[in-house]
Amino acid sequence: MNDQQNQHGAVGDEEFDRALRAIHADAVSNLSARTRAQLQQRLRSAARPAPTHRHGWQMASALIALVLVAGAYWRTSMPGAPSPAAVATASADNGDLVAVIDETPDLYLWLDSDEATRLASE
Amino acid sequence: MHHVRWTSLSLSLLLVLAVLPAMASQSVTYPAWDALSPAQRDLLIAPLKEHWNSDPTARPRLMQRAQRWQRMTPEERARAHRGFDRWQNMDPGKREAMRALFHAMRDMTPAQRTALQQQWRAMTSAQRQAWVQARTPSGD
Repeated sequence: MNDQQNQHGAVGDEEFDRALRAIHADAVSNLSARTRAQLQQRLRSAARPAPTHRHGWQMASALIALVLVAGAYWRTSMPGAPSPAAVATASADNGDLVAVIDETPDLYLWLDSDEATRLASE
Repeated sequence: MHHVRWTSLSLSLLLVLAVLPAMASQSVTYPAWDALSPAQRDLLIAPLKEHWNSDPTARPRLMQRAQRWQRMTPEERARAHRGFDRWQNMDPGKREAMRALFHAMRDMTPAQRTALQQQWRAMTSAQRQAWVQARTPSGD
C-alpha cells in the first residue's frame, strides 16, 4: 500500500517536474533577445567571484568590530532580562549607537569620574 | 452622510495605526544580544553601518574607538555607559567644555590636573569659553 503510494508520489513528482520544465521552456522561448541578453549578463555578474582582496577583509573586520561595539552597548545598557519598555526605548534610540562611537570611549569613562563630576558641576 | 461615515472610518483607522506600535512594543520582548538573529542585529546596527559608509575619512577613528570598547573590562564599560548617559544630558556648550578639559587633562600629571582644576574654578564664564575655543580636540 505504502509502496503504491510512493510509486504514485514519484510518478506525480516526475510529471509535475516535467510540466514545470515545459512551462519554463515556453516562457524562456517567448523572451525578447534583449531581455535574454540582460539576464545572461546578470547571471555572469552573479557567477563572478566576489572581490576577496584586502579591502574586503578590512570592511569585514570593521563591521565585525562595530557589531561587537553594538553588542557591548546592548549588554551594558540592559543588564539581565530586558523589560519590554527598556527594549522599546533601546530600539527607538538606536541612534545612540552612532553617538556612542562619535567620541572616544575614554571620554565617557572619564565623565563617570569624580574629577569630571566636579568640573561639570562648576 | 457618506462623507461622515468615511471620516469616522478614517479616524478609527488612524487611531488603530497610532496605537499598534505601542501595543507591539509592550507585548514583544527580545533576548540578549548573543541570542538575537542576524537580521535583528543588522537592524540594530543599521545606523552604525550608515555612519561608517557616509564618511570614509572617519573610519580609522571609528575603528580605534570600536577596538577601545572591545578592550574595556565589563566594569569599565558600565562606567563608560554611565558617562555616556551624562554626556547625553549635557547641553552643547557643556559638552564642548568637557571635551576640551578631557583632552587637555588626559596626558597631564596629577599635579598638573589639580592646577588646571583650580585655574578652571577661578575663571569667569567668558574666560572659560575663550579657553575652550582656543583648544580644539586633538582627536583620540
